[in-house]
Amino acid sequence: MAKIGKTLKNLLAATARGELLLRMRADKYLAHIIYLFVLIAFTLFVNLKMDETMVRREHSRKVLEDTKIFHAQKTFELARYDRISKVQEMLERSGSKVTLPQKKAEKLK
Amino acid sequence: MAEKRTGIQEENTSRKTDRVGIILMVIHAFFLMAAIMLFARIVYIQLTFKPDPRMLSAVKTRSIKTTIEPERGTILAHDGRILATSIPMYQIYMDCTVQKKAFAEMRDKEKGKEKEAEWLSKAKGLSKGLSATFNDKSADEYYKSIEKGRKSGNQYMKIGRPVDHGQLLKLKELPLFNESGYRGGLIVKKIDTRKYPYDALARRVIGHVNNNSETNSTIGIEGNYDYTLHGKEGIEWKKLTDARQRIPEYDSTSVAVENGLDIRTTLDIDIQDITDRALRKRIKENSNIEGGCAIIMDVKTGAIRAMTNLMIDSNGEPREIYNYAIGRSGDPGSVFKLATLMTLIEDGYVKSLETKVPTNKGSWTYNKKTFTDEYLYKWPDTQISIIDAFKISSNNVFRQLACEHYEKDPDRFIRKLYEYKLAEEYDLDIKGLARPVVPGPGSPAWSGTALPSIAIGYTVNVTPLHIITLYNAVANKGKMMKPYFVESFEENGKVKKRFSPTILNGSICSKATADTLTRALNKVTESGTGSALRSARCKIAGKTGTAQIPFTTKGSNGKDKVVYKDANGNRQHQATFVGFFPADNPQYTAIIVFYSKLSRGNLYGAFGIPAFKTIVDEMYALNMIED
Repeated sequence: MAKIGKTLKNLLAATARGELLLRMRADKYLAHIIYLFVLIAFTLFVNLKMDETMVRREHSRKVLEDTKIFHAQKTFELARYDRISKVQEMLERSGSKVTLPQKKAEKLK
Repeated sequence: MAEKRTGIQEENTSRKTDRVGIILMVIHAFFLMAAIMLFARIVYIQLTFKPDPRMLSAVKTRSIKTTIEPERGTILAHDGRILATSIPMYQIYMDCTVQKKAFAEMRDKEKGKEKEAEWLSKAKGLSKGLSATFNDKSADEYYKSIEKGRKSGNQYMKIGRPVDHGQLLKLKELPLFNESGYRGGLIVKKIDTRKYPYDALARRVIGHVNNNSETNSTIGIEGNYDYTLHGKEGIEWKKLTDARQRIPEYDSTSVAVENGLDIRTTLDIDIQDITDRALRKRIKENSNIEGGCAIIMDVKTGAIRAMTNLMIDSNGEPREIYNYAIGRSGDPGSVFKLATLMTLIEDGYVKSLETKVPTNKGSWTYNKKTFTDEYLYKWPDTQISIIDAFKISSNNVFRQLACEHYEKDPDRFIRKLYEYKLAEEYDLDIKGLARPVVPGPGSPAWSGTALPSIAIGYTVNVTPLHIITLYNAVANKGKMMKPYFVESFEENGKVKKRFSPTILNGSICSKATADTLTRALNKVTESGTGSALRSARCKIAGKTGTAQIPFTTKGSNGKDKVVYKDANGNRQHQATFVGFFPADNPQYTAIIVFYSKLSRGNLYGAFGIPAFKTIVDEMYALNMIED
């Protein structure tokens, strides 16, 4: 108990005098402290950048989704004109004389 | 003197050191106090402090859980063309009250009024654009409704009808809508919609749903493969970044969405279109028609290339309302004679189609019942060959042959029909296959005249699909293929599961029998009841069939009874033509069936021939049939 008391007293005295880190020989680990500080700062920086990238990714995803929807819409519209009877209707309406072939196409050998 | 100077210097130096030391001590003490206070504050916050809940909810970064709806799979034709796909539509709403309060509470009242006027002026521009887009109201009407909504505080005013993506982008360029939601008031609600590029073509086969949430449809491929097409919902957690943007938060509770698989069918949309048009045209040519169906099947695989079902609706228009092809099980009529002839040949009772049988002048008695045959009555000879009897579709000849050879053992005949899968409910890719009925000796439907009746296609109930499957087996030299609609499940173009053709019966008859039957079917189309097909672009082998359809009517005692003709002479008919082409190297088998309304008129098997010929001719001209 006396030892603990003495240690505490020395601790408080060293803190009051500003000698705590010196007494703990923290100068030996200065490089490690600086390294840790840089590591933490770098991690925070990378996390921020990752967040920014994720935001850009979300934006790109929305653009991609919009593009996909646009593509699906256009494919659907194109498919509607693919029907033989629809093409015939359109030709008739425009007064064309083009109809379905009456005989098979001749194959060139 | 020097000592005194040294003493002063030392005193001066000592005073300077003390001053720096004191300053440093003060700074150190200040930071030490700050550190102690900080430490005390941390302990207080951790153990005692309870923050204001409103402040906490505003400051604390929360993850929100969103459910990602899967995309419904696409249904494709055999060649990859889209038959059904999901496209979002958008319903526009408007919050008419945006910025109204902000403008009203501005310190500079004049400026507030200016801003309000500017907003309303933009609303006028918006109204013009909305009127031009939707064509349902004038620009003035739109402006009045926006103004009224702003006064009454309407924050969710519906605008127009659902629009597609392209139209939404155009709407977003209009005044007010081109600003953020908090300034312009635009609210967009996405509606997942199912679209069919070919409209109602093959609707009973493809099915129909409005969106991916509709799970109660049982029609067609949409209904039967709903689980495959639907996909699985995903769960995504999103968190706020420091810049107040939402990004995904990947943790173990996130579940990736699984979009529905695409289904590639066996349908050929061009053949489907040709079949639909031919059937539709023929139906419209006779006002006595209730409806009809047509099936085109690939000989080698059993793949259904087209299935059309048209029924006259209340407006007199033929529409895909009911699936006759698989759902209507009834007496097939004379087309069933092929099964009878096949059985006779396989069992060795008919060794040659040239074998002659007596005509009996078209009258034949069996089990105290006399059967008449007007075709035999008109036949110039007292005997007729089996092939001629087949080509003119004589009922009595086949009744006689069946009774002569199977009277003592009718079970043998019926067992053969079962081998032809005529009583089988196939496991089809779409729901709704009607139960076929082929009664055997000992069953309630069996009677003294059941055998001669079955021989000509009565007393049995089969669907058009069963008949075409039988004829397809003959075209395929005896190998009976199971009809199917689905080729594969795909994901982004890659096949996940493939469905191969299935053999129902490896050999329902020998190749020699199949060739003999083909010769008989050729005779029908060359000089028999199907001779109108002689001028078709390629040779067709087939058979006509006419059947009277039994129906329920009230008897004289007021009770329901099943009759072929009612008291007023009204009857219902089924006219069938089934065949395969090209006859010498069959690639497709087809069946066309028409159903008449209840009337005094007749409908003969040959009624379907013009439609059949149109289908064959157009398929030939479009290079769908190889030489």
